[in-house]
Amino acid sequence: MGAFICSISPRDWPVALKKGIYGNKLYKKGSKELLGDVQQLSIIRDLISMKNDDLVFFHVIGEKTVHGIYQVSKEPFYDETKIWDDEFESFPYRFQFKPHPDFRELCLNDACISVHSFYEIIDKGEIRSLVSLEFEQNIERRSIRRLLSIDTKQIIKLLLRDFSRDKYREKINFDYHQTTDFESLNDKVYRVGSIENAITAVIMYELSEDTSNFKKIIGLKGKCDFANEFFVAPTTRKAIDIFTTWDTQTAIIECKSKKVNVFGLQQGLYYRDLIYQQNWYDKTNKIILILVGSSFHKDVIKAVVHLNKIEQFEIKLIKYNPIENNKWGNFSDETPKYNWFG
Amino acid sequence: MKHQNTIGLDDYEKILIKPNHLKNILKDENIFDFTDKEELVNSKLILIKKEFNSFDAGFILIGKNNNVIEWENFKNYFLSYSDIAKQRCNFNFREISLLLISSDFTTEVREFCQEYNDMYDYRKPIRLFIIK
Repeated sequence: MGAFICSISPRDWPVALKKGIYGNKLYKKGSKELLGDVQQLSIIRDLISMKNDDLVFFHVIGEKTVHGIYQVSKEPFYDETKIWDDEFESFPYRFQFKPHPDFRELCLNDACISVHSFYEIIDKGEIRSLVSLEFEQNIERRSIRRLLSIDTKQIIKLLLRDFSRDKYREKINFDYHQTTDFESLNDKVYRVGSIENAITAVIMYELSEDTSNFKKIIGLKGKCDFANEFFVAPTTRKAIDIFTTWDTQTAIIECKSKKVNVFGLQQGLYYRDLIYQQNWYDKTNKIILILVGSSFHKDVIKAVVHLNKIEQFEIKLIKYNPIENNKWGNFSDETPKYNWFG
Repeated sequence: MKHQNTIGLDDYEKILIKPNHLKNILKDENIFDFTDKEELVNSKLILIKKEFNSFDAGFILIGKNNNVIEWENFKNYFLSYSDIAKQRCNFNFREISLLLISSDFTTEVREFCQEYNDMYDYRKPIRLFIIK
């Protein structure tokens, strides 16, 4: 089961909570100028793997609180119907949610914890998927962050620890929004082949499915736990495109929209070493490095031929091809064998 | 090939007696002291501590084979090196370097080391020494 934490303004949170709907923006702040393709595709990338019953927490910016525990009730979609009172935005990249049935009592009271409490458990290394909820300079601004499911237990524990009826006065009267006319978020993916966020969005969706072309190609059967833009370590601020675990295997997936070059391979190998050194990582599990691109530099292929002779180095080269007018992609395993002659 | 050098016939024996003899072989690291030789019986490797003014500065792992080191031998050395990096250095390959001494190395071994050293450019390189 997936889990997400979504940032929202204090102005918009009461409406979102009451109507059980969250939306992300289409325009640049305070204008009718569309967000660029890279940014729109990053929003799609971060949302597209969300499934019904996934857990959701909300970070209310400004109030510095984290609210929970909610559950996805309608998978992500695109709809411009006006809900929030904003002059420019309809926040059309949306999903719907409701109180998690096991924690309804908390949600009725809009239970929350302070962001500082949240940071305490991040600092202790009890949360792997996040290093900060803030928007940081030189790091992509993201309102939706996917968490590893193992991290949700700590957040739930905090929400229960800090819950007290005395803190909350009024119960929430939910008045769920009925979405009627919408587009599937999958149909909003575009520019696969030219923007990295697009192929990453495809992979995120395919990882969330029980079976998919991508999962078959990399040898992943059944469900997996995964998160994108996964910080390798708190202070290095280096993010892995996708980190995923299943059974006793772990994979680091690095995506390039075009050709994967030597630097991409070096970077992936470095990230893998950093993960191995983390205290929380089970060092008996092998980490597969998966490089995804539209092609691979011959020096990358040559290096992989040699490095793969030692099993612990397992590196896969997965080629993607844009399909459906660059609105999706399919994958093939291009990992060279030792008798490859370049 | 970078990180490939020659070594004297009796240099290894000198290292076994006095690990600090490594200063004469690893000229780029001769500011360090090499101490506490440990023989790792199962892997036929020796582990030497690297220090600077009593501060720990990592390890050198040395393997020697009088015959040509071909792929299977090398793989065993390398897997032992990985195990030791895991146990002693928490998988931090920047803290431990592998040094192999032999009469020669096969092309397959040399090519692997070349690619490894190029791609893992932040780890300590594998160094190959041919007995002259």
